[in-house]
Amino acid sequence: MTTELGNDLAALARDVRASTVAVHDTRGRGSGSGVIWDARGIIITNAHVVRGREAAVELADGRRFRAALVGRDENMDLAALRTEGVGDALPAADVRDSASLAPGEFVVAVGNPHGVPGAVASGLVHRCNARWVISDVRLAPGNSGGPLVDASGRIVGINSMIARGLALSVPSDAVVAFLRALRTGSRAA
Amino acid sequence: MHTSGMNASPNALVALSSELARAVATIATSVVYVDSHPRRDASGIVWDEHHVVTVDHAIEREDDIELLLGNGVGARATLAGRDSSTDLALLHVDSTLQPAPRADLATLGVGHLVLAVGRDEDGATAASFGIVSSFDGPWRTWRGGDVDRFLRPDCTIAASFSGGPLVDATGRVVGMNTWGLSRRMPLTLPVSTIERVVAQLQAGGGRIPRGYLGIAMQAVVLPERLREARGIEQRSGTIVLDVAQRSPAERAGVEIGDVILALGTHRIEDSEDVQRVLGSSPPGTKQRLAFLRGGTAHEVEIVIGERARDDD
Repeated sequence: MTTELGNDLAALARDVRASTVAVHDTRGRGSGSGVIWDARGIIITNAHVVRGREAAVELADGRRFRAALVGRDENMDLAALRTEGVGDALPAADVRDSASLAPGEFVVAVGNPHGVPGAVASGLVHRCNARWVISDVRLAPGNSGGPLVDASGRIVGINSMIARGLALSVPSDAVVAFLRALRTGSRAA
Repeated sequence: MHTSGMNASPNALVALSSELARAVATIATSVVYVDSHPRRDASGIVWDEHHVVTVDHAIEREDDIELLLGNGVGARATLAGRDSSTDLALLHVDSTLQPAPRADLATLGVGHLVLAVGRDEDGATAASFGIVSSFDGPWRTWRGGDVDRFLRPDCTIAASFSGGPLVDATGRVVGMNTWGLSRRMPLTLPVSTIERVVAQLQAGGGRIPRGYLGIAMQAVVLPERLREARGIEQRSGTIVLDVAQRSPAERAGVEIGDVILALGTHRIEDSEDVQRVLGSSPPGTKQRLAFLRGGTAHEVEIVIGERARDDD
């Protein structure tokens, strides 16, 4: 059973890493993580990770792309980037409706804490509401903007901050709403 | 959005996640939010149909305690008993509650998966998980309470989880989490100790009577020559530093400077030994007190008193 669990966890980590990117702010020294949200190159990260109008994005396989800021919402701590010249073949993440999350579900965070690429931390959903998915995953700086996924590897949140030892992630439903608002032009940066 | 190549069919990890969420759902109906203190939020466990156990350190108001039940409904509770030595408080509720299922500790061991569950002031269930990192024998709290197992999980336990349950992977209570038994880390009061203390509180009208002698004391090493001359096996005893007025010790004729060697049938080598005997000697019982005075052995009978309420 524990061997199976270990294998499943390793497989999950491998798949989630493929759609997790490192985001380097081209203006300052800031860097964090991001998620390949769709195959055409939309990257979701935290607003606090990208300060300028563009950023450099590095995939797990080492490929690097320039990405332009599409929109930002400081309140929700979300930013959307569009990678340039990648066609439509990026390994996008599978997304789950965060409203269906229950306390006690197993979740995994992937990111680049302390510059370590693809580092994985796990924990349980503490509770969730429209604003945050709160879990006991041990995040570190650099996890910001990276994915929080469920036991099937589906994205349920974007890791944002640590408060009183708990991980706060922006729910996937809020990311969907953010992107919808961008498309309709109501909140373009 | 496409699937990232992940096998979507249920695997061991998905099964584990579902099991954990199910365990939380199982216990959640019996986890309450407790509001009795202006600054300390706590959780509580529904112990039986009309009682909730929680942490003593989060109880300030004794009559007007507000609860938020698992179904989101508020309820009023009154204090039915408290024992600061084990940081346990027993609350009474008029309405009928859903008691938490309890685990059998005989099957628990280091490495088992456990969940800490709490309820916050908005009524939301919160959970974290980890493994049993220590599961040892009996120990005594810094307030002199006897706990039958040293149980420590490695879960993240928020302060508001104090009073909430630690449950096994099936959602059965193995103990109550508290930040009140150690200044450095949260510990878990095992379910067997809760059962014993609750029974004592219910039998004792809401408090646990503790034996009292009325002496201050300190351990002393017995000189080798004295031990040989008197045929004493033990290497130390406790010397009486002070005797309280009108106390059981004064009535029995105990004086400052007496070196206590035995109380009842128990050898006394330090003051902890005295506390241990008193913990299991109800007030009113008689015990033999053996001591040295001026190098010669004496023995008196002492009637165990009851510690004043202020000392609790």
